[in-house]
Amino acid sequence: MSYAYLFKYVIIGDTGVGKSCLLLQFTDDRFTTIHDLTIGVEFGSRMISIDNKKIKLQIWDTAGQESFRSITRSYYRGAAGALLVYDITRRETFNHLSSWLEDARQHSSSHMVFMLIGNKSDLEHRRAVKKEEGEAFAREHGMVFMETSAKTAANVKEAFFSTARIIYKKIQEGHLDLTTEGNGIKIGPSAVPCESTLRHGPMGSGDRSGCC
Amino acid sequence: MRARERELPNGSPARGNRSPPPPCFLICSKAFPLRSGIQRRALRLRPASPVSWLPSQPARLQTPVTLWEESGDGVIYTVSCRSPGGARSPIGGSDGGGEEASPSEPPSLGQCRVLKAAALPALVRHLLEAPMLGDPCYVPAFLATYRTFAAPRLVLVQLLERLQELENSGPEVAPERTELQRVLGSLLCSWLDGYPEDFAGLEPGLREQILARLRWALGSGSEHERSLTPAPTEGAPVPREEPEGDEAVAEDPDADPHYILGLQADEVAAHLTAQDAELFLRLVPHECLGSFWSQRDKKGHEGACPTVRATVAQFNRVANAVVASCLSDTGLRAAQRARLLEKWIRVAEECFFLRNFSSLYAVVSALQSTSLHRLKRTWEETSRDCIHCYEGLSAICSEKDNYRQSRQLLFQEGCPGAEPTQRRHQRKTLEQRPTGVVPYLGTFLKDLVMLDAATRNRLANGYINFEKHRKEFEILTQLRLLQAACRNYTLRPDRTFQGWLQRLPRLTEGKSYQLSCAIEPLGEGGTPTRPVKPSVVITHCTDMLSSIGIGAPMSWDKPGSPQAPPDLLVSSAPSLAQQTKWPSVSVLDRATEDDLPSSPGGLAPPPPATGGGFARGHRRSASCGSAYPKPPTPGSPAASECRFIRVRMELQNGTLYKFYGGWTTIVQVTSQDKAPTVIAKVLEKHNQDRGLAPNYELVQLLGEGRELAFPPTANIFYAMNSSSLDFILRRKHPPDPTSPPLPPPRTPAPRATDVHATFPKIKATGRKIARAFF
Repeated sequence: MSYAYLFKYVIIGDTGVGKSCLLLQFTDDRFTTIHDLTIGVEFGSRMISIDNKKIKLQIWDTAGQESFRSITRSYYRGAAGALLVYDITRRETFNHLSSWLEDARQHSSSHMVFMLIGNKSDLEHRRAVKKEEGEAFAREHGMVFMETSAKTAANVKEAFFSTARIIYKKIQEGHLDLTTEGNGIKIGPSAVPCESTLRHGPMGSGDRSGCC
Repeated sequence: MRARERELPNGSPARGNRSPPPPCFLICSKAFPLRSGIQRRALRLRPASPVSWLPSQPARLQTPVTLWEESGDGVIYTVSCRSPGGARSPIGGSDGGGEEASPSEPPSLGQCRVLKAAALPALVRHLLEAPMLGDPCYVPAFLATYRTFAAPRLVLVQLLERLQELENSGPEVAPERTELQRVLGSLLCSWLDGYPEDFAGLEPGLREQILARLRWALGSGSEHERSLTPAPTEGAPVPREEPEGDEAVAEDPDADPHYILGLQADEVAAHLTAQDAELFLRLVPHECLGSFWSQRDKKGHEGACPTVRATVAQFNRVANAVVASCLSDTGLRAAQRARLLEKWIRVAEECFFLRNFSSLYAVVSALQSTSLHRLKRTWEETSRDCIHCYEGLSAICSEKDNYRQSRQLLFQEGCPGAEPTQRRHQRKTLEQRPTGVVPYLGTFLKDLVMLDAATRNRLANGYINFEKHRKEFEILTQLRLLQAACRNYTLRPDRTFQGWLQRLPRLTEGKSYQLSCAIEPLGEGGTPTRPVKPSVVITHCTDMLSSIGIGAPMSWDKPGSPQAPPDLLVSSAPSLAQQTKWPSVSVLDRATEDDLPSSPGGLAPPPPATGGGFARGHRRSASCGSAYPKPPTPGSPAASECRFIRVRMELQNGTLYKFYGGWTTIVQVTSQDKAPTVIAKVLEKHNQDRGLAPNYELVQLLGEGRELAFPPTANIFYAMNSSSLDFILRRKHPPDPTSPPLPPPRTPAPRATDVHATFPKIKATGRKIARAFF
């Protein structure tokens, strides 16, 4: 399906904070997960509309791979947005935010849009981190903040959408140079030739003008 | 058995009938495609199907499958029927009450009943019933995954209770008793073989009871009896220690970060692979399950998943070694540091050839890390060869389409056909390398975590959702199969090298970034322009050059890089059989230190080579010393019934057709293949019509200009000369006795009349070999 822009997101945060649940909730990939997960189809993306422009959100989830440090770090580069997630019922996941943020900032483009997410808002009775604390942390670090529940879907869509809107606005305002690599944004296939039109996978793409 | 079953109290019929959805279910008129390759799933049901998994069936591909659910007895079954006449009408059953399950009823022809969900007692009961209900995968799936919902002790206790219940109920009928003994014997044997640790901590009383049941099933003195006795179980075969990191070896700030340069890339890869294989074989697959692994950092789970942690620790050690070796010495010139990048790229490539995806990912992801990625000048000094290779490897490791590339390669037998890196290794790889495999575990962990997040543990009525565990079992089975393949390695870890890995200082992210900025200050160059375009891979023709003989004048299509070709030629040609080890950077530093500019990463060209220094023209051979293949060992054993050859297509005039930037097609040749079959395979890989096969002949290149052309009747597998794997696909010509041999193409005899119609854009330009740029 054609789109005007593709934004890459990365979801980061401690293990067990519900990163993959957020992804599944937003992309509705539950079914794919159950059936086709292991065969290598596109996974974790969803099309949205902003200003009547189709935008594809491609989300990389580091779930399960958080301990492979170099892998998660290589995800940062080439992401336009990052959802930094903690679990409102586990304080330690909130305490680790600074190191996640530092790590991500170091490895990402300076234009990366960060969004802080306190997940599991449905578990109010087990809350260990006050909403105000989340808000304060977000304010201090220049992030948008939201509490979500991947279980009930509360605010999940809003979190991804608002991040996308910020990125979109940055593009509109000319803060992002779309011609440079690594900012996590691609112009849609309607504007440039699509990679997938090349039949031979990675070997086939690229500048072949020099070939005989 | 049937009589006994019917006497059983009905588990919870009210719940059973209320909670599951009415036995709707869809009739699928379309045949389900069977998955090929590894047994991941028997059926792939496309959207809207309520069933995700069914046990393997004989391939009756064209028969429509009918599915419905049956519930009762505390169990929900999924029933599938493949024979059109044998299906119950699922419509008729949709009265809201659900069909009564009658598990003891033998499945009718073509019917298959698998347990979908049940409470724990029913799941345990089913361990003794499943084999008779046409569900052979239930027991292995249960044993692999039950720890996520019950402790071993609880399951064993319930199993013993169930056996007691069966004994007490109904008369002992000999055939049924024998059947039960058989099923129990098989269950206990699988359990003791696969998961001896489950029996290790049992109290003596319970152990005795199990032992008694084992004897009842198998008779006294069975081999498995011994594994139930305390002594051997204490020394269970699966070593479970190895906490994260082997911190026994202290970091040593003086460890030589450039030690790696003194080693051949293939040696390093062999060591890494031996080490990774050792850890992978120790891996306990069920530790990878999402519900364990995703909870590992929660309180009370500190010691969870030790074998997975050990794998991760080694992965991080390797990645650290890459970063530490490249950054520790900030005084190196860019050209010198580039040798380190090149070395690691070659190591990654060798890992790929060894099918070690774990270290491949570790090295590539480390090279992609910001601290290394941003070193613009270093990457500019890195040889084109290596950059190409790196891009190819990055594409393999790409997460695109959910790691499609590496998933495919992982389960490919032998050497991957779409091999994107340097071809010059191929010979060695194919003929001499052991063919084990080590996966990058992160993909599996991610799949299992995702699966865990995506599927419910329990249905609304509290039944354990066993379908989820069947899915998990599929993934764990893949791991087990890979472990079996991994045993094929015959590599030994090199403790000296492992010691170096462990002693190297661990660079924190902040520290390595700091070093990186000391080497090339921030804002100096911005992001590198060349490296990391992972999706773009363009191979070039150095391998081709080396195999057809270098030295012929070359013309290069692309303007703008006039220096590149001579460089390339110098480095490729003379060093084909080079096996000498290269001095480390520290040695070279001494030779050149007077010239070292004081500014970090000075741009001054290196001084002329003295005693192995980094002369520009030779740096590639220096850096990639290990990258040149050893001469093939004649007669070295090929893979049992197949071998791989590499084939290029020849155009007229001795020109080699470079398709998509110079693909050499790797083709598998089995002992059954005659020449036309192989030719058709090559044509297909070059996107040509297989039907053109009769127009081509297959020619083996034997070196020194000798060739061996195969007639259509030849069996390539047996007829080929084992000393060479290089082939050319040549279009047949009218008899032309003057046709020059190929290679070398020094004396081409243009046959300008014969222009291949399928390559309209290609001009026959003599020996011109173009190369693509990046």
